[in-house]
Amino acid sequence: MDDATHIRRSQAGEHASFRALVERHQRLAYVHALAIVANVDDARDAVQEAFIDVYRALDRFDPERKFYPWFYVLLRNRCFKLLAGHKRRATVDLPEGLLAAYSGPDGDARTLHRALLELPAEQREMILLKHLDGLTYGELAERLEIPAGTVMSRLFHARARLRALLEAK
Amino acid sequence: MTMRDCETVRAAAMARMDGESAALTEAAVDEHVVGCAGCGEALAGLQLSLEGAQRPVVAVDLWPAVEVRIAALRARRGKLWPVVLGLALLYKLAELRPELGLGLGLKLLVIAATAAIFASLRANPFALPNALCED
Repeated sequence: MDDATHIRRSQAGEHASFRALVERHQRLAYVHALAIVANVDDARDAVQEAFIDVYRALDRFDPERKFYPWFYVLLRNRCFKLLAGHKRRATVDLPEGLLAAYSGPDGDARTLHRALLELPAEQREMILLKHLDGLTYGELAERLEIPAGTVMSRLFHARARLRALLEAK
Repeated sequence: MTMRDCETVRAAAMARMDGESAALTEAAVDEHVVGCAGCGEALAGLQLSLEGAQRPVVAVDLWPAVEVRIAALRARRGKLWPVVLGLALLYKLAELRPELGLGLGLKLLVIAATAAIFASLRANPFALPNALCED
């Protein structure tokens, strides 16, 4: 069953369909939230809050639209709100659990992931959406609600920063 | 070369690398880079190898927590529903029985209270009959 059907059924009050929607998207949502907040507990909170936002706004959602890009906007709003709520936490103070979750098969991968996690949240999000999800500039612009020119500029600076971090290691 | 030229060239070079349409031809980019050490250096490191990058493998089941939150939200809405109904009746009473002297002040109070409830719910409380969670 596709998202549109689940959404229509959820809008009609079918509890199981909303559950199916959550269960279908929670893993990807969690990985995306993790990419932004770099903290497992915050990522969980952000995803939960975003699904509650979906529940609240579901009546106004057009099922013909793609669900995940719309959801992603709610999710990243929740993530950045969480980050703004505790600015004192430095992103370089990385939890071991998170590093383990990101760790690859070899040391180079681990170095890369450590560098990724040291990037500012917006730059890390940009790099991961581009390189792991393979989004085009147009898709990035839609997902992040920014002009394509801004996507290029931010992506350029994110890559430059990542390169600098890798060179420093 | 102006800074704007450099930004355009760097964006075009990166777009080409990513397989996107670029604002400048390859020849125009090369021509600029030959005479611009800053762009040469900036573009040299752009070809980042992210082969080691992979999505973290995670097992996560957030539905139980989401379900609890939805139940709480529904309960909150359920408690507010009689209040909304009461406010609506009070408003109507003030309209139908002006001799009671309920007046404009009360009407405004009722409107303000209703608006506050809407804002706190961040949804239309009158849509409750269609709410989810009808197990």
